This record gives sequence, structure tokens and C-alpha cells, in this order.
Amino acid sequence: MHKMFVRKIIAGIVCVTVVLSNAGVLLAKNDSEDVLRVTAAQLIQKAKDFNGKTVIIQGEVIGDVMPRGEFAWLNIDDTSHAIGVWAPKAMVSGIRYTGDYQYKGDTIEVRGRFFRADADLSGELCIRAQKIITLKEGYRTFRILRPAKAEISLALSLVVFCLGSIILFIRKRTPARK
Amino acid sequence: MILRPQFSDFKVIGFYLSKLVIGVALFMVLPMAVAFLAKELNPLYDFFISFLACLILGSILYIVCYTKEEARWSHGMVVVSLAWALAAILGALPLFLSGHFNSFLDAVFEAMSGFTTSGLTLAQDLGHMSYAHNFWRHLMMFLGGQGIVVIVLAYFVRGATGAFRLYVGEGRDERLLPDIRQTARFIWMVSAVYLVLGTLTLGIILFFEGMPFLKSIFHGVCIFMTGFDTGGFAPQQQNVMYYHSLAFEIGTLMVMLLGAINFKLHYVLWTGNRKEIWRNIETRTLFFAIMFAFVLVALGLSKMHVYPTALALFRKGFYHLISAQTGTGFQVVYSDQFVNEWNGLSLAGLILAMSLGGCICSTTGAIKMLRIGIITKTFISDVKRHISPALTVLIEKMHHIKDSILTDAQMRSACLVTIAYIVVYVTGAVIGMLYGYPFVESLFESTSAAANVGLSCGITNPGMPDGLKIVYIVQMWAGRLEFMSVFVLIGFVVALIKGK
Repeated sequence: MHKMFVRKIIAGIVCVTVVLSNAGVLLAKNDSEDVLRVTAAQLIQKAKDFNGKTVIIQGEVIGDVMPRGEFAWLNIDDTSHAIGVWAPKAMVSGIRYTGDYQYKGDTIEVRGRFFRADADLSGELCIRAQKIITLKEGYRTFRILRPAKAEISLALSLVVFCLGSIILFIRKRTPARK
Repeated sequence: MILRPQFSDFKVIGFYLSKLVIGVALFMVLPMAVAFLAKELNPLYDFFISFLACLILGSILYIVCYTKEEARWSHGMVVVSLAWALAAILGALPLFLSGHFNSFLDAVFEAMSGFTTSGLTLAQDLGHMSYAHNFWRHLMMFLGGQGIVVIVLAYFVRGATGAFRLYVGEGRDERLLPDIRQTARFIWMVSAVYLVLGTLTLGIILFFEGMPFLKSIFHGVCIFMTGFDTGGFAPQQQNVMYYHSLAFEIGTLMVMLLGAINFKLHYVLWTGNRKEIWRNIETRTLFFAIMFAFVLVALGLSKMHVYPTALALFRKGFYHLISAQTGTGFQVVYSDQFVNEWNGLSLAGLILAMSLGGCICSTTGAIKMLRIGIITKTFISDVKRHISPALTVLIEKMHHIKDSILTDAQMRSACLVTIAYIVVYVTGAVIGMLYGYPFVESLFESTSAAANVGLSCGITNPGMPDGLKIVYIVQMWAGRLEFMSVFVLIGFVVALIKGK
């Protein structure tokens, strides 16, 4: 009797485990189906369609990472558009470079829920990040001066000098107004 | 009989233009300083080349057109209209050299949008634009908002009579002080004080919102210059949305409203007469216009449930309404969202606000509140006249700084300018439709350009047809000058061809 009872319990545990593991697989399958790879332009143009959905987007971090309490705002640009990302501060601590004139920002992949007008953020269109991965670290961009610019500057300076001399000559010859 | 302009007329026009061109050159020293401080070598040379090119053109005009003759009314108008066109072309030089514009036409569009305080932009990859070029975009708006001619009046023009003619030609017609040059200097003094206070306020907000100190000051000064001068450029592609800050949006709301108020009213308030703000016909009309347009916007947005909370609706709806009414063009939603999410009623509210504008003698464009106030009073007066006994003499008064009787000339002038604006709004919309854009979007963008607002529903982008870019450039230019100078310029050209 006791053995029968133990067998039943073991069989029950096995069944539950099998069901749960299958459910896990099913859920995971559904989750991966729901996650959409998008561009910023797609999110903005079809904001109603993507509202509340989990998305994955890749782009360069531009401007600044702006900490707000336990969270931070950052903006990413995927060349189609720029879009705001709201993320826990710890999640953005790995971002090293942000894009500007002198730097190419880190290229990151953000997985998160997109909101057309987030009620908790007083209407912001944004992605609430769940996961951020740095795909490529940014770098300093070295911009070399084009020699033509220096040459043109020199030539124009000479012309300005000549014209300035003529103006001074005219002003010297013309009596000042009273 | 039309008289053909003489060589001496060209000399006067050319001589005044030379001063304006040299003035533009001198202002390029500021972004050069920014480039030097930020160690941006290529931008430094871009501005140095543009600076020299302006100096050369200015010097040639000065030498060829040197004269002691003072400008007449027609000269003043022609100088002003040409000065703005020339400033846009010269201001475009460093922008084009930056590599952030597809063509020189795009750079001219940006510069015209800057000087006319419109705010429509064709710049690409703003996130990687140099500090110097970005500063120049914003400085153009500040210079344009104050009136580039006003600047030159204050410091370069000697004769007071000629100076006043240029001042009026620029779409301003109110003297704050007896001498027009003192008026121009007062406008600059007011602006400089506000610039310091506004920059600090906006910079501090951004600093507390997580931006590094120096960057927050840079963004503060840029946004203040374009907000106070109701321009609408911002250092980043997402415009004010980039900052994700309600506090910053409230700060910019205040700045926009300050910029939309008549400079004469600023003067009166500065001299202690606080009650004027409640009595003035312009501020009253502005208040009612904002309320009316906001009802339209709010009804439209709430009917479609565009925003989930009242705060969100207010944040997006009211912000854009003030941005439209003051002619600023700051955006906290993307251009595509206007078309895809906002309905016709809310867009109608924005178009109405854009088309009406702020106060005269301010930095806003469009029809302006004094004219709307005068037209409303005229309408009420006419209704009263029809219901009064035949022999009744009705005198309509208004309060604008002082009490005055409304004259037929004022009414006619207000109606004329209003009709001119409406014709330009509609013409731009029709041209937009000819290029294949829908009616509402075309009217929205056309009104935004001609009223120097800068809100966009997506038509304005680097890929738009060149013809439409030119149409918007002309609209921005004519709208900023309130048409009279442009009409005189057209008359000048006609006289040149047909005159005897």
C-alpha cells in the first residue's frame, strides 16, 4: 500500500514536471514569437500597433545618459530615427561612449516594452528596457583637417587684406560726417 | 508713371547691404570661438572661410556703393528684403561645409529657417554635429529673432531717419524710445538680460536632470536662444523630446511665452506698469486665442483617447499649442505622430494657433494678436452700427499701451496683412497638394513655414522635392517680413523693367 502511494506520488511529480517543462517551452516559444525586431522609424510610424509589445532594437547611444533616481534616460539612433529608452541605472552602467561630434557612441541592443504614451512617464513615447547588450563599443573619431580648407582660407585672407586696404584708403580720403 | 531706379538708388541699397553683410561676418566670430574652445578644427576653418567670404562681399559692396545719401522708404524696404535673403545664403556657407546637408539648397533652407525663426530643419545626423555648427544654427535664430537689421541699426548705421526706415521694413513699427537706435539697443539689452537668466534656468534644470554641467549650459543657451526668439531649433534630432523632462518643458513654455510678448510691453512692464498686461488688447486677445485653440486640441485628443492621462494630454496638447501659437515649433511628439495619432480637430486647433501667432513687435511670425484684436473690434463695431439708430456715431477704442481710437487706416492695414497671410498659407498648401501631399498635411506645413513656426507633420525632410523647398524658403522669408518689404522689392524690380 505504502509502495503504491510512493509510486503514485513519483508518477504525479513526473507528470507535473513534464507538463510544467512543456509549458515553459510553450511560454518561451510564445515569448520569442512576441518579441519583434524593429527600427525606431517603425515604432514611431506604427506606434499604435506596437504599443505595449516587447521589441528588440539596435542603435547607437547618442548625446547623454541622463540618470533620474534609480533609472536613467538614454537615446539611441538607428539611422532611421532616434528614440528614448528608459532603463534601470544598473543596466546602463556598461555604456562607455555616447555619440557626438568627437565620439561614435556604443552600439547597443535593447530588449524592452514599447509604449506609445507611457502613463507612468506622463505620456512619453519610449522603450522600457528589460535587457541591454553592448554590441560594439564606441570610439573617438579623429577628423583630419582637409588641406583645401587651409589653402582657401589663405587665399581669401589675402583678398580681404587687399580690400581692407582699399576701404581704409577711401575712409582716409573722405572727411568724416558731423 | 513709374520711375526707373537710378544708379544712386542701387548705391544706397548696396551700401546699406554692405554693412549688413559685414555684420553677418562679425557674428561668425562667435561660432569660431566655440569651435576653438571645443577643439573642433574642421568647423573652425568652415567658419573662417565663411567669415572671409562675407568680408569680401561686404567690402566689395562698400567700395563700389560708397555713398553719403540716406535711405528713403523704398530703399529701406528693398534693403531689408534683400538683406534677409543674402543673410540666409551667407549663413548657409558654414552649414554646407559641415557635411550635414545634402545640398547647398538644403543649407540655405536651414539658414532661412534659422534667420526667420521658423525652425523647420533639413539637417542630418544632428547627434554628431559639431558644437560650433550647432551653435551657429541657434545663433542665427537669436539674431533673426531680434532682427538682423535691428542689430546693424544699433551699432552700424549713423543716420536716425534711414535707420527707422530699415526698422519698419523689418516688420516692426513700434518705437520704444524716441531714437530708433536707442530702441534697437533697448531690444538687445532686454534680450541679453533674458538670455543670461534663461540660460541659467534651463541649464540648471538640465543639470539636475542628469546632464553634465558644461553640456547643460550649452543646451540651455541654445534652447533659450531658439525658445525666446520663437525659433524652434534644438541641438538634437528629437528636439525637446530628447530631454525627457517635464520640468524642462515647463521652463521652455515660459521662455516661449516671454518671446511672444510685444517688446513694448516688456518695456512697460520693466518700467513698473504691471497692470498693462491685463489691459492690453494684444495680451487679452492672446489669452482668448490660446483658450479657444486649446479647447479644439483637447477635444480632438480626448475624443480619440490619444493620451492615457490628463497630465499626458496637457503635456503634449498644451505644449504644442503654445509652441504653435508663439511660432516656436518645439516638439515633444514626433512629426509622424501628428498625422498618425492626432485627429483633424486637434490638428485644426494647431493650424489655427500657428496662423494667428503672438504679439506684434515680438519675435513671432504670423498674423499676430493686435491685428486679430483690431479685426474683432471692427467686426463688433460694424454689428453695433447696424443695430444702432441711423444717426448714431460710434467710436471704437482700444487699449494698447495707451488708450486710442481705432482708425479706418488701422482696420484696413490689419485686414490687408491678414488676407496676405491667408493667401500665402493657402497657396503653399495648394503647391504641396500639387506635389502629391494630402490637404491637411500640406496646409499644416505651409502655415508652419509662412507663419515661421517650425512644427512639422513630416513633409519637411531632406528627401522632399526641391521645388517645395524653394516654396517654403520664400514663404518663410515673406512671412517674416510681413510682406510689405517684399511687395516693395517686387515693385522695385517692376520699376527697373517698366520704368521710364
